[in-house]
Amino acid sequence: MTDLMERLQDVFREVFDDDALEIVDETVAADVDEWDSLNHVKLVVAIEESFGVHFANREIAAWENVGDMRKALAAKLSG
Amino acid sequence: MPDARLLGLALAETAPEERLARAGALLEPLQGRSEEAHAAREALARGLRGLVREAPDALRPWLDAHWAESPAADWVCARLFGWLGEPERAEEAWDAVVEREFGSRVERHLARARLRLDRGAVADAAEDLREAFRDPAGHRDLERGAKLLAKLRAAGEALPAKRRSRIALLGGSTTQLMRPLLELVCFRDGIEAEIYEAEYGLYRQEVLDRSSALHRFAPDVVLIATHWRDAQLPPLSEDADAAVEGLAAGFEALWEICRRELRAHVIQHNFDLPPNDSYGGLGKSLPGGRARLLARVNLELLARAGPGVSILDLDAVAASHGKERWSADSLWYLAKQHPAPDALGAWADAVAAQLRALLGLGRKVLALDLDNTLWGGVIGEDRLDGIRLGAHSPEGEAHLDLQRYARELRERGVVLVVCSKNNEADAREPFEAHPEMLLRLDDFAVFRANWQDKASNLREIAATLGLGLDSFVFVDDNPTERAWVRRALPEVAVPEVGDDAADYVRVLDRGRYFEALTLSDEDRLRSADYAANARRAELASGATSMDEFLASLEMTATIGRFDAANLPRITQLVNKSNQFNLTTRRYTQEQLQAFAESPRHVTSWFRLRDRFGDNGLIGVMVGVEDPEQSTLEIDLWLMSCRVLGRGMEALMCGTLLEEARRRGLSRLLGRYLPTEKNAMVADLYPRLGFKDAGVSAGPGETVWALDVEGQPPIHCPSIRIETAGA
Repeated sequence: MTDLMERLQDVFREVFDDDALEIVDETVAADVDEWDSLNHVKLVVAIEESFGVHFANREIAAWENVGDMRKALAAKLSG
Repeated sequence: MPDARLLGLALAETAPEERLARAGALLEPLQGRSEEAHAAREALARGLRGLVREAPDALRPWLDAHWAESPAADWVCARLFGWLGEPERAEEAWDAVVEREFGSRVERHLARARLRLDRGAVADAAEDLREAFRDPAGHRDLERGAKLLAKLRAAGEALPAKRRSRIALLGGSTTQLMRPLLELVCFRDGIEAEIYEAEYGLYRQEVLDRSSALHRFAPDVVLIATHWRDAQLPPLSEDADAAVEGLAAGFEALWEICRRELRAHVIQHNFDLPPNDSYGGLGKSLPGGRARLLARVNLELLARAGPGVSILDLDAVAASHGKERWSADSLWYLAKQHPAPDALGAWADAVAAQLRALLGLGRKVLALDLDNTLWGGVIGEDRLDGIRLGAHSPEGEAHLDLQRYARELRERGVVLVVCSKNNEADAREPFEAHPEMLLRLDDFAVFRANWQDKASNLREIAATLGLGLDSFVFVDDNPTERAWVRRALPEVAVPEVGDDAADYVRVLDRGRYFEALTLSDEDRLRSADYAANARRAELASGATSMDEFLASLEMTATIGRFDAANLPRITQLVNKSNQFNLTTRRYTQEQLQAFAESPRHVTSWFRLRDRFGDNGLIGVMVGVEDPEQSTLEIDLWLMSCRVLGRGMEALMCGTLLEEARRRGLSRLLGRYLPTEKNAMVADLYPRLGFKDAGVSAGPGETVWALDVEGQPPIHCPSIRIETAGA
């Protein structure tokens, strides 16, 4: 697991309050208990704050799984 | 120092042994206390995290070798022990980090709190959580703290709290990010908050519909968290006056229902002026411009907010935070979130300050250091002509400004004291002889300059004043003194004012320690009171007997029933008196008003003046008649400690006895409910001649009875009595 994915997983664990949560690129909202629209907003805010980035709503709307989030994040961090 | 990101990259791609060797060498340059050093340590720990899975057998000896080597090594080891699943060693490492007060306060205390919670030590975890947030923190950290608080509460043990409050959060925008922060700041300030969160945008319906969840929740406090969009004003209104009137009257109607029917206190946001305005400056300059109307409505809300309603100045919170950073429009479009998450900490602090004021948790004493705090330089070395104070130097101006701020606080009732390490004569000299000195010796209720440690001095000052240390704020330029007091006396607020005098006032002000909802005459008198008390103490030492002393005070008590003029002060006393308080029951102003209107209740307030001055309203009693039992039970009895030992206790009790007699009741009942602070009145009833009522009660609780028939009136010969309105 890459450092980025590990840090992303830490954010997921914190937001969903589950220390055993394991995420992979293919993980989708339906796989995680409590990943509803309310917590999705909290997740976006938490990722933005933890990594010091900002996502446009257009980008957020295009995410279909964790892999999309990770790639968008990696692109921001390297750009 | 190695850059945090590069450091992570450098460690990530190498073989385990190589990685560990490099990391070991990197520990040394990471000893600093800066934020960069902190980020680099975290990056170093993360760089080794992969080894937890890849090569734990190589990692363990490395940890054994480096642990306890330095604070930075302890930090990295604490993280890695945690990831390795070794909670005991992780906690031991965090203990060492905490002991040295090293690295980020939030991180070290949150990490240890989690470990403590995992092993079931809920109280210890709660202590860490409170320590974590002693200083202002960012949204991410607050949100993490709130998550941990939720877990602590779920553990089922009662957490330490000084007050409980049921708070209804009615948002114009969504409140899902507000609520956890509000819970956390309440916990931090000793308030156990139970929060009801309404669907956003439904604040009117919730209040108006008597069968709503809000009405069922029965809140103590209703927080109407609206913002500029809720005013729904067009950029330009035709009838400006009607628009202002309509908005203000609409909110006033909601307040009335909250106050009269829910008997709740209302905290109402004012309107933050929107950051964007298509009309530009015209928004303010045109009579019907939106920005102008919002500013007018804000004034109108203040004018209409009587007792039981306080206005939270959202626009000032926005301005202080920075209007550019106040809104996060993309989150508004995504989730109706306003303001920006980053601004919510400042918002929560503003709400907490009002709640503290409402619940009697505001602070009362400002304890000031002298050298490099009230003036620049060290009086014992620089002497009178060497210290910097006043308009002759930039440094001196900043110190003078702190003096001005402190004197203004004193004028509104904050008690000032000096706590300084100095020879007393040296310390007094600037007050007596420096021409630029603004504060005078008699501005201070207690002046303590000696070579004792400051925690001991503060403890003695608190005892002298008869006030708890939790009402103290301590300002000192010296970080060591601050750290010492923080550790020895965690209940004292110690703002991190830094060592630049130019920052002192701003940091002190931002703590909102002395926030008040009202300013009563008693508040203004308070500082003079403490000085007068010191003179009474002198007189007492001269008198040969207690009776002689009391007679010499020439005391007059005024007694009245609860009335509109005195209700704010009564509410204040009811909610903040801890020591002379038989039942420590807290009531809102609306509840007390209801007692005043009820024929079953006897309500009395007591004022006391003497030849040194007016002590103001210092006592409150509420009795409840039970016609079937033919009893009058004392539901509430409290008195300000500054009039202790003057005979007021007997006088107050006698008043209720006569009321019971007048109503033809046969017994006066008294109840003592023990708390951490009211041991001084545990035996008050037996001292006044009450007998054990033989009623079963809760743990530590005692019930006492006094037969009315045959009981002579209770006199207090040294106090003359006046009846209000008579």
